[in-house]
Amino acid sequence: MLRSAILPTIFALALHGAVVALLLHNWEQPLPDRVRVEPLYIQASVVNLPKPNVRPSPPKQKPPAQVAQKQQAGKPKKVKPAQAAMTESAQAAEPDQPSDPERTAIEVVTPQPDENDATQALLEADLMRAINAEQGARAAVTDDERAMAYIGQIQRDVIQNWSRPPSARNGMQAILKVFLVPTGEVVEVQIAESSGNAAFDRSAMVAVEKVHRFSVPSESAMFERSFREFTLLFRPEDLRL
Amino acid sequence: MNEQLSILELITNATVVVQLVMAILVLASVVSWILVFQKAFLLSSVRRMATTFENDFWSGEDLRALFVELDEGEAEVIGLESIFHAGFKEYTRCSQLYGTQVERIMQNVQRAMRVALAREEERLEAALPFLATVGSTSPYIGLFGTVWGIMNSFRGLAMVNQATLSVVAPGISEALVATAIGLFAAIPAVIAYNRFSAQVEIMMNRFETFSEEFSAILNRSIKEN
Repeated sequence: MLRSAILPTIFALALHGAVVALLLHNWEQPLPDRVRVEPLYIQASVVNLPKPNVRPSPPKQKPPAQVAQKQQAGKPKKVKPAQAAMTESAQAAEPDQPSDPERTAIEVVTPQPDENDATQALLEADLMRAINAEQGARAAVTDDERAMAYIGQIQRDVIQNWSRPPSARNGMQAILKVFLVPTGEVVEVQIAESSGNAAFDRSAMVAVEKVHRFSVPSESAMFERSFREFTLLFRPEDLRL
Repeated sequence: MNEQLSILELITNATVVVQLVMAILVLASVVSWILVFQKAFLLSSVRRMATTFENDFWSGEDLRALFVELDEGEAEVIGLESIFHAGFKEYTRCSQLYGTQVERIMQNVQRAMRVALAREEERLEAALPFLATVGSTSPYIGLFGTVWGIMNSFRGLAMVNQATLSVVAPGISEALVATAIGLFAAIPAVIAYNRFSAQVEIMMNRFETFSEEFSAILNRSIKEN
């Protein structure tokens, strides 16, 4: 009886071994193909790559780099162009972010350093940036990625707490300036650009105040750079009117 | 958790209960396959021996010589041979005891063959209940592991602020492995059970037919004497 069980046991174990081997082998096959599509990080270099440093002529003559220059030329009405650029970038950068139920856009705009003396400062800054971008590409990538994650979280927090007034219409937009302390608590909210509708502005401010405490990075460098103060764009996109 | 979720990782990361369920199922699968192979070998050898024995039996050879050959042979007497063996042994004994009392001899011979038949049936059907049990319960055991794993993964989800699919997905995937193993154990067991019980039934019919034929032959030979 015992002897007659030896051969079947060997067969059974061999069969199971074969199945396990097959399973493990096949499972790992398709993996290398879809490792890491990195749409997130391309962003950082795109913003840094206007090239006025090649030709030191005044900015008017360079149509291709126009947008970027506007952004850095530090016009008095600086919020808007910078915001536009960052809006695009934020959307491009986060294609995989789960679309929130209300398809509302609240974009977080991190402040750009002020450069009032446009032409000269631009040259040097861009040169430096190009070098830095090349040198510290990896570090920038991870920093940027992590900053993006926090920004996404802030967006979600605000969207969750935002209840729009009935008078809100598509196309309205309000830009809020938010000031945080390093713990992430909101110390001040200002209206940087009103929508023209007081109820709408108020609802946006209430949304930020309701969140009360944002999740922010613990490293002070990143916090100071992007989260000490930032602007929020409120714009309903899913309304019928 | 990156995308490199191999099945092995899923299994090693699973909770203890799920791992236990998987272990039970793998064991059940291994044992049932052992039994499947054992049964397949046994049935095929019984069928082969029955065929050769029937050929010998109907070849007109002296039954007594056949009996002596079986009785003194080394190998274990199984299947058709054991029925013949039991019947003929009883016949020789009783014919010495009762002489020409046909009824009594035939009664005893038939009883002896029924006993041998029952033994053979027992031997052929051994382990079939185990296959049936594995076939019917292991999907449920696997399901239990899955439900437990999903329960845990949702409980973990409740503690996370930001619920995304990637938080739950590994847990669920890990839990589903248990069901997969359960089905992997159950399907061959059910198929084998059905196949073997049909084969055993065919063999038993063949044995019964043979025992009827054999008792008819004995009856006739008693009367001729």
